[in-house]
Amino acid sequence: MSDSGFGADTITRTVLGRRSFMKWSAAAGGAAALAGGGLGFGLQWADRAAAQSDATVIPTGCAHNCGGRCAIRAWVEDGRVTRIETDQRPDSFEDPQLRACMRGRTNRERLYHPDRLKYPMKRVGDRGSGEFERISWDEALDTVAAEMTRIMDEYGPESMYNNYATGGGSTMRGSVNATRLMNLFGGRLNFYNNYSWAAAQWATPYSLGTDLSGSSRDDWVNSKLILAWGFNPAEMIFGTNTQYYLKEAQKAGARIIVIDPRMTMTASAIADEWIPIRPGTDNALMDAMAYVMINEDLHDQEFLDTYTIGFDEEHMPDGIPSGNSYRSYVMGDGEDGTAKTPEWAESITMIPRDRIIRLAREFAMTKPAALIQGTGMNRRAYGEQPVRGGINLAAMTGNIGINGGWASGMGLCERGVSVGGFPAGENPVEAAIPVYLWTEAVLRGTEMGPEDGLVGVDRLPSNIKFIYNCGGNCLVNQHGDINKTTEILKDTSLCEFIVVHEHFMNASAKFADILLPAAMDLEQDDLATTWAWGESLISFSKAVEPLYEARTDYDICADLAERLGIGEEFTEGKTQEEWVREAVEVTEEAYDDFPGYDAWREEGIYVPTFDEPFVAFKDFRDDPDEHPLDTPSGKIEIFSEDIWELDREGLPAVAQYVPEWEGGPWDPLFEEYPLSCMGSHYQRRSHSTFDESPWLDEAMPQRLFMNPVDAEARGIEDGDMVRVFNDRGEVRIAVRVTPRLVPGLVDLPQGGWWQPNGDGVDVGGSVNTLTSLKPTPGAFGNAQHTVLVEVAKA
Amino acid sequence: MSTTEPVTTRLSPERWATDLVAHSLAYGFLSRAIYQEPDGGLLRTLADDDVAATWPVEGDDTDLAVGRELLHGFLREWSEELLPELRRDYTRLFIGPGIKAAPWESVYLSRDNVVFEQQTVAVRDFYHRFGLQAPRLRREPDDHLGLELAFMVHLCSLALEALESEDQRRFQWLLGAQRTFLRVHLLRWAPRCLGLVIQHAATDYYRGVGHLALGTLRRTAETLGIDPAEHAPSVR
Repeated sequence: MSDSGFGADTITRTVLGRRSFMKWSAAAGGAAALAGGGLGFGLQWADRAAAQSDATVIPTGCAHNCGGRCAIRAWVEDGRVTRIETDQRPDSFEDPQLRACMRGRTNRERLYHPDRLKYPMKRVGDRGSGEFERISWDEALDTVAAEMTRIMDEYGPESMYNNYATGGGSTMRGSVNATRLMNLFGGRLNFYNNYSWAAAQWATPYSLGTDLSGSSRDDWVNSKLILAWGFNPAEMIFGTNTQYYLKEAQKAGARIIVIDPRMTMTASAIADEWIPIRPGTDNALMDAMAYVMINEDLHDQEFLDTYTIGFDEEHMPDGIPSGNSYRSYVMGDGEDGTAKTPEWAESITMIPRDRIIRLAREFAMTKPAALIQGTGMNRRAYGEQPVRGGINLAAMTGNIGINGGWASGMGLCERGVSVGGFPAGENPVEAAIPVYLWTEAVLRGTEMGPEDGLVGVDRLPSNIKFIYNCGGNCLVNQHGDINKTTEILKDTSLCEFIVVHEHFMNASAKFADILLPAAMDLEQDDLATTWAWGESLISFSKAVEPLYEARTDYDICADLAERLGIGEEFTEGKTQEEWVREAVEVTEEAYDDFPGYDAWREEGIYVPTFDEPFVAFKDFRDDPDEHPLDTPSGKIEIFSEDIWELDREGLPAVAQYVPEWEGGPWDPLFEEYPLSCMGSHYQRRSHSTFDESPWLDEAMPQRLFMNPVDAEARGIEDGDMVRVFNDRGEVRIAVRVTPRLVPGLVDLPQGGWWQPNGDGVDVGGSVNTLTSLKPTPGAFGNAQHTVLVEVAKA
Repeated sequence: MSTTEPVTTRLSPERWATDLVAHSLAYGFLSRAIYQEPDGGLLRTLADDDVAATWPVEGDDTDLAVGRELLHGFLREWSEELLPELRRDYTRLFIGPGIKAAPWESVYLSRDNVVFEQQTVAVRDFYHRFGLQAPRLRREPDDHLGLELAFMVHLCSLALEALESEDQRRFQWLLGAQRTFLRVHLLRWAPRCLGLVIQHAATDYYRGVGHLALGTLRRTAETLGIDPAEHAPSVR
């Protein structure tokens, strides 16, 4: 402001007193700042060199834990993502496009969401209060490094825990960085299992010697019949294009039957038929199908004699009392003396006996046929049972090791694309807990033992005192019994320090002591391989710089490593992009037609060529003596002596129907809470990721799904607000009344963000407000779909 | 709006100078209050000597009156101990998580309600025409309310310079630029954002800032002969 002419003098005469002018001028940043338009703190003189750039298209991807790994092409203009498109390559059955679904298409909205986490924050209220204050990166990282050092010194490496976190699905994703950092820093308490497949991955090897029991999906066109049993790729993806292969199979002549308590999108959009079933009773249907096959002599006795043990009394391991074969159990010659007739199963499953008989005959007489299991069933009270039960039916029909068949069980496929990874480093700690019991290890780690699934040591020297939660929501939202979990976490004398990397303020981020803003996929160089099923290698190139003060998980952990005195060990002098380059060296070696690193970066996708479908257990089928399975007998173990020796409640040595706790009228809780509650996978989310999207929320709001029969009995109408509750908690949410799920069942799609109101009622609709922390008997896995509740109009 | 009389001749040069200085003071303070986390120095400056008893921009306007009263009342009680509360309020309003009054234009005006949209680029271009750019370019959006208000300070200063050098053409052109910036940008979204500030602020300080910003924008519009209501997006 000039002092000459009209400037300050005029003002002071006419409007403001001089003193007031001077003060306001100071408040506005000083006269110098005013003259330059707030240049003291806000706008700057423009850098003339910063010319606008033309639009470019950057190949990257969408990698979350839906199992899809899909192509994203980001249009970038002047440092800004203006539009997202997906795979534009030619589309063919041999090499189908890796097209992103509606979740993937919201990546730009995710990137530019106004409520993204922007700066490092420290907790200023009570833990879990969600009150944070912006701090500098230096203060944040100094604090984390100091706490890691203090807790490591005070309690030892078994007190340090890197929580399960799969919000990202790329090779350089957050949790891998935290694992490497903690391993190099002196170790951490290990976990085994995951939240998806604990029971399935535990149980399948008891029958088949491996959990890689799946063929490649391009073999489904060879099937004549596909039983998609609790299998719903149309909604939950399970590998990019899985529903496409299902449709191709149908086009090639396969009949597709969906068995599911919900009329899923797979049932309504793809299947020829939907057989609704009461949740948690799949083994009763399997057992009755076995009964019909045996009764009508439709089973493949020759296959069973050659390739299995434990089907009948003639093929049992030595020393097992008679009556313990699967046939004895099914035909009523076992301990319970009950024949597993279709009538018996009808009362349990709600499926009419005639339908059961027809299904058994069709599955036994249509060759080849594939019983493909989804994994929702394995997240139930006795989740080990349906996994091995499905294998029994596949074996009884001789559908294992052939084109168009399917061994059932976990069903992961051995065939994939060869690529290296980001090395996690060696963890010097031997001790490992089942992942679902980490809250127990915070609460009473030193009291845990083999009875809680602790392995590697007899006892833990410490409870968990430090948690690194890097890009995942299992700290709160996706773990069971949120009210109990958060009660444990709120007590800062138990777990003394929690650091979280996140993109948004989800339930887990709320419980951070230090909360760090992480870069998104569009903001970093990375790669992703398809998960479980599929063979592609997707290149992620940085489209834009990380917004605000967000940083990549790698850079954050590298800076922490520096502070912890292990900087060089952590980075080995490499940037993130250099680690990506190194990982792909494996691919370069493995395939002659790999175009080379630079060309692959430019094209974005590499898919190796395969001459024919991969068939799991083909070598075993062709020559069982030369290629035995990795089971104690070398055969398919319908009866498992190893499980027999475990001798655990709810864990029979032959798969069978076990009535669930919180399963039905036999549980006293049923009187008060007569509805079964599941948390299905919702198309709008990948678990809890994408719940922040207003687009997807509008398309598919979080709701409770309920059958009209149950709604009417409670005076509830479509759209009403309802209370969903049990002894563990209460959710308040709008209801969708629909016949697309069986009576007696309500569905609160998993992944909604927990938002307690003042009374502790969750108005965000996380199903885990209602779920139990009780594990499955074999794997100590999560049984989050076995829940009893009551619903009332709010 | 159209008028036969150039807006620049409606007021005397002295009166224009007064107005421009007053507005640049007001926008300078508002810009700083909204763009930066609260700092003790600024608050002390304001609290000392009862600065807030006056507001540089005069006028018979409810928002100005209410805002002045709220700010004045808050500053009378000011002590450093209130700073953490003020910081929490700022964080909730303008940073998040759980952001209550997202301070970026494109969040209000773009189809998808996100940051870094066409509006952001248009504002960037506007700044650039006057030789300015946002700090942390491409990392943080250019159309932050605090930056747009800072840009108003710059436009006021340039106009004042033109006035002092008696360059009528340039003066008129600069007022035109202010009018365009207000009509195309600030007036189209700032009232909605400031409404959210007033609604969600937990302290009288930010409630006061919200009212003062609303009132000041309205006064600027009036001075420049713009009907603010004309430029607010219609609500169906």
